[in-house]
Amino acid sequence: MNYTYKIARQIMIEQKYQAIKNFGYFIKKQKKIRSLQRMILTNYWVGSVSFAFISIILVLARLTGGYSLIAMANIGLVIFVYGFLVSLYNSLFLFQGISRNNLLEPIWQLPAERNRNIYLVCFLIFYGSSVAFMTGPDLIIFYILSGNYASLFFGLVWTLIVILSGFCLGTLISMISLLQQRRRGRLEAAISRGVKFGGIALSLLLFEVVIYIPETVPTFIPELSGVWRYAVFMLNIPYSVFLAGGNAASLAENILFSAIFFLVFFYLSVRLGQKSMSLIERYPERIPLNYSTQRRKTSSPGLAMLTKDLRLIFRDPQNVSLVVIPVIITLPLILSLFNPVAARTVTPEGIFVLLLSLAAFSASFYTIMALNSESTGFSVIRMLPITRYGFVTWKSISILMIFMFIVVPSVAIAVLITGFSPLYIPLISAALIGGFVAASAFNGHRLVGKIGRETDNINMESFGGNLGLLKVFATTLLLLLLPVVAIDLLQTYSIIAFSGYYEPISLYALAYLGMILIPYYLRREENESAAASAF
Amino acid sequence: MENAVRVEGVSKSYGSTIALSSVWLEIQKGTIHGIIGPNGSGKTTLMRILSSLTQRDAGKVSVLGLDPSVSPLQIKRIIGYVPENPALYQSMTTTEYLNFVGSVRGIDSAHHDSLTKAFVKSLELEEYVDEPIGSLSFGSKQKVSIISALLHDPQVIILDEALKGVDPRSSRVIRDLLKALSRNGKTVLFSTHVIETVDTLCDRLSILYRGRIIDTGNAAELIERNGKGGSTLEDVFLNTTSEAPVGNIGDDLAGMMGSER
Repeated sequence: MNYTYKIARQIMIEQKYQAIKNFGYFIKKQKKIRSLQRMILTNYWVGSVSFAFISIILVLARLTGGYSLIAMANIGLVIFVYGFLVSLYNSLFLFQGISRNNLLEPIWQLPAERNRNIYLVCFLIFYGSSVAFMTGPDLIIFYILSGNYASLFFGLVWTLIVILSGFCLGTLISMISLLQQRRRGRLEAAISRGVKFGGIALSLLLFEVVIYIPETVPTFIPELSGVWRYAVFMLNIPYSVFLAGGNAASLAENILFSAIFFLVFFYLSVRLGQKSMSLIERYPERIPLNYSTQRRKTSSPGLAMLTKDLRLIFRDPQNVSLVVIPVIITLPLILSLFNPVAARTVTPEGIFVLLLSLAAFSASFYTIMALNSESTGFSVIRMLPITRYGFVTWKSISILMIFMFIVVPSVAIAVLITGFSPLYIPLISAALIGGFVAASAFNGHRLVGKIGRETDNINMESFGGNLGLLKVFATTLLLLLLPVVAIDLLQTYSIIAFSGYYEPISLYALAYLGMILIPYYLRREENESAAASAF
Repeated sequence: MENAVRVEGVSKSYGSTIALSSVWLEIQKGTIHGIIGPNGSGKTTLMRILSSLTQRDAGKVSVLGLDPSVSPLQIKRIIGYVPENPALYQSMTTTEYLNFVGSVRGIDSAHHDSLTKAFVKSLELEEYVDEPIGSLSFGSKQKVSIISALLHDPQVIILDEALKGVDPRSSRVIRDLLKALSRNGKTVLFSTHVIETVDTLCDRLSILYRGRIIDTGNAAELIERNGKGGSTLEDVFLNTTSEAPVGNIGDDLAGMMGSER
């Protein structure tokens, strides 16, 4: 175990080192390894504390204004599902990190069978365990409210199940991705990518729909007869964890089903972890796609950059999962509009503010994803005559295309189900797109500015890992909320001073479209120095 | 003859590690200049400084009259740089990658097509052009890296251990190509550990050791100045860049491996 732990820790250090080895501040550090270890530890704790904070906020929000144990159990389900998503994403991230950077290459030569469990151990220690900080506070608060000891015990077991199931799904997606790329032709590979992308999105959306359409969970699960109520994976959490207990028979059923789920996922995790290691060992790098013959022709530099960026994003399951995550996070807000009470009370401005969260999440996640997709290929960019501004601009355009594909249907659904005029669709969409362009360009320039002058490799750790992601999200949220707050304050002042009232949504649209000037401002700043404009 | 590259007192440190210490070097236009030195002698740092990929701490650098730290974009337009380890997009096919590089460099489509076809055929990459670069062998990746550095007909070509892992036939093709390019007025800076290669390929050589240029000249001049009667270029290299003579180190190590634990 000690040996496996040491190598698992080395993988984390190696990942971080690859990301920041050429950063100026790191080069100057005297005790580099110690500093790397400290960074990994800090990152882990900041991420875990953030998870705990999010969990507490969600629970406290539900507690205000009265609560029922059923309602608290359903919030618990939401937290466990987010834990599952975090686990899923982290396993994709770790798998890609190990396989892309050949992090286990040095130990393949050593004759140790124990190597096979390193990936799972690394995941559980450095990623999976942080999910406990998400479910933990919720379980403790629920125990204080209900006094149900069983909820603590089953909560612990189901936290492990959620962590392991997320790991299994993420690893399975990564493995299928590698195998499919190897076995299929270009068209088939494209189809399988589409199916895979659709599959991930559909299964996750299904979770969301079931959870967030009011009354579905509380009515559907109890209607299941007998033991089946415990057997509906994940959706049984309110009953298997929070409302656990009752008579001896139901307790025994619960223990039995929880134990079965735990053992099955534990076994699958070990097997998948070992299989994936064998796969990475056999194919340490990318695998032939057997593409059909392609034409050798050049295009405009911009189009070439755009095509390259989209290829890098959609050829990597980790990036594809990042494309889906902002939608998953914000979908509950859109689905809440299906509630007739919410649909009657919401205004177009309300819809805009609701969907602003989609723009904020997307502008944060997508910017990091787009930069992260460069990986070791970033050295190619550095060798070519490409300006920092051009690099960020084409990254921004590529993620804008993805965002537009998501935001316009989201706005259309929100406007149409609430019965507002379809004219609001272009107005709200334009405002959101304006905000996204400004925020993603701002984030892009800020993050690219952080990249060391001699960096040849970019990965998530280059921008501080989860902590960096949180910082980017906070900045984006601040940037995107400023116009709303400013306009609302002006509106209030205008009503008080002149009894004047303006259509807020038009003002929002104007303000956010005006924010598109931010990238132009950044360009003006950059052109002042030719040396600074290159990588 | 006009100098294409001029390096004056350049120094570079990475934290407390000194990579280059007051390096002086002049490379004439239309010549092939070899840099030889042991591992960690500063070859890669020097080449990256000339390619504007690394910032120097002190000194002056001029590549065709341009300072790489002041005009990095212009430098990248006129040079072709091949790094020691091929830096490529692993998920792109060879064709996609070369199309991308050609597009960013603004190469005419028809010219690009004929040129890449010729390169791919000459370096025997035809069967790999539609496979992701990540699935290619190290040598094939190196070939793709070399092609991408030459597509835009650079005035100065900087190759850092560029023939490492490349098969003998392709290696010969590339060496012949470099000679032809230098005859056409291009300047080539070439680093390697393989003494034979620099001996046959380069017009002039510099020996770099511990961040300093120890000597510069053609092979005969270096042997005359640093060797004894009958010395080879390898002897000169070993004498000038080793703390202790090689002697029987290999035999001694083999003996230790076979001894009782």
